[in-house]
Amino acid sequence: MPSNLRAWLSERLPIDLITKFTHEQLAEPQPRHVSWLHTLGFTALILLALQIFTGLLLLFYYKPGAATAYESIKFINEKVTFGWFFRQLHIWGANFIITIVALHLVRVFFYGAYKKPRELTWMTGAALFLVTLGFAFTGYLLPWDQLAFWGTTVGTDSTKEVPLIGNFLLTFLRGGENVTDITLSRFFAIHIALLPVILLALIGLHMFLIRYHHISPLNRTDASDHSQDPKFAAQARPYFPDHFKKELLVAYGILIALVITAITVHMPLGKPANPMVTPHGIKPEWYFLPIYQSLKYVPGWLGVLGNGVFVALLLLLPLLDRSPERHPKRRKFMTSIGILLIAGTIGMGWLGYVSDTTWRILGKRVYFDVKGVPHFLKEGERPGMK
Amino acid sequence: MTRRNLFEKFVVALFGGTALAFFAPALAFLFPNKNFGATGREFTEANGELISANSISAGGARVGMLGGKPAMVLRRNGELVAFSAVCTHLGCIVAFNASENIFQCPCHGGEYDQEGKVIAGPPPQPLARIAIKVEEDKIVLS
Repeated sequence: MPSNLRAWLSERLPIDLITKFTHEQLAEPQPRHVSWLHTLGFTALILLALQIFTGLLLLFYYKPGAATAYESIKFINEKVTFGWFFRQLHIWGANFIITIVALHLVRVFFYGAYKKPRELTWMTGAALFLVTLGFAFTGYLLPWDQLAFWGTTVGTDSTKEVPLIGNFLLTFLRGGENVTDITLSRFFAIHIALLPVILLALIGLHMFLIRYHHISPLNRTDASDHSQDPKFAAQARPYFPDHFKKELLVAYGILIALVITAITVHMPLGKPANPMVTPHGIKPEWYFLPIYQSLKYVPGWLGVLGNGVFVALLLLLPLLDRSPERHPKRRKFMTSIGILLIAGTIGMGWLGYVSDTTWRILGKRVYFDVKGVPHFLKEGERPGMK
Repeated sequence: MTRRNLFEKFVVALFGGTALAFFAPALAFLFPNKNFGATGREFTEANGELISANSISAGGARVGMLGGKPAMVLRRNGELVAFSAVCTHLGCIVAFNASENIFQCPCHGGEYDQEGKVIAGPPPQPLARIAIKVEEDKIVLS
């Protein structure tokens, strides 16, 4: 910065304070266990920046409204230069960001990094995960094709099972009894205005808390402050450039993978939404498959309650698990619970994926019914034939 | 209570009341009037075009809007009968399988008999029967 410009700014802004603060942040010593797994949060941030960028580009052409939304997406796909590319990048970006945020959450869980005094860091992080899913859910309706319309119809319908306020919630979400263009406007407003404000506020708080409490160590919560330990000081490396290089490398690799996926695997735009015809085998996106499938085994109210309790447990985890151990090997109970939950979620998602489909396995035709139970079919036999 | 305390309470009540007076209508704003959309008594396509009684052949069925909600009208034994077309499980539109004389939901395998009673799958309630009549070839809520 030219010295006269710096002098001019220094008279008006606390430049020295900002410089000192930035240097302190960049030089922050990182514990020895900080590894490649600690790069997921940064990667999520980069993906988010890309989502904002591609979303903004799409906004230049997208026209919300039942009569215009589908055609405008078609226009973006077919007429706008690189329109298809930025749309695919936005769609796949959503899939990538959900994966990365979920992996980040799993990493933090197994490292016990949610424990005292980082409870609020976890809660804001878990809330960010839910907000990310909210983005995916509201964005899904915007193309206004058959899949979008019916995915949203099924997805919002289960809210009517919430005890006492179910119908109130359903009307609030849809802006009426059915999914209509009012729902579309509402989801659009939530997707591009309400959720971004909440997201940015939560990210600000989350990052402040990460920096305020520093990276979580792996020792017990009642152990002495590791930063005062001379051994720690000898082993610690500064955030910049040591760890930053790893973050940059991972984020770059993920971005390359995203671009390749967006170019090679196209998510098609289906037929325009038709409120009178539900296509066969409507299923949500992969990240909602576990919830979708779990709702099939129990009465609606129980399924919604169960999923609500799960979300509450996720948010309040640090208040429930107060044991001082952080290392995953020294808290076998919580580690086992975590592994079981992940296996259950993947298993439920897989059942949701195969449900109501026919597969050929080892030469035999197998039909998985809506609950995922396999039925062997004879040649020529159709599922559900009586 | 001192005069200052009283004044502070008054200010808090004033600001609280003003905020409430502002946000209560904002909340109501988010809940649209029940009369929004196609709530007509006639049986129509989603775009409001009338579906005539004559267009439903013997043994056939049509899905349309009736009283603002998706409904299915069938011609059975020469007579028109109507049911809600919305599966009571998660809101998909059921289809009528004429060969088996049952309603089937394409989403999660729910099945209803010809009277709308659940015979298979997850639906918690039967399909509601809707009372209709025919007026000059128009199908209307009775």
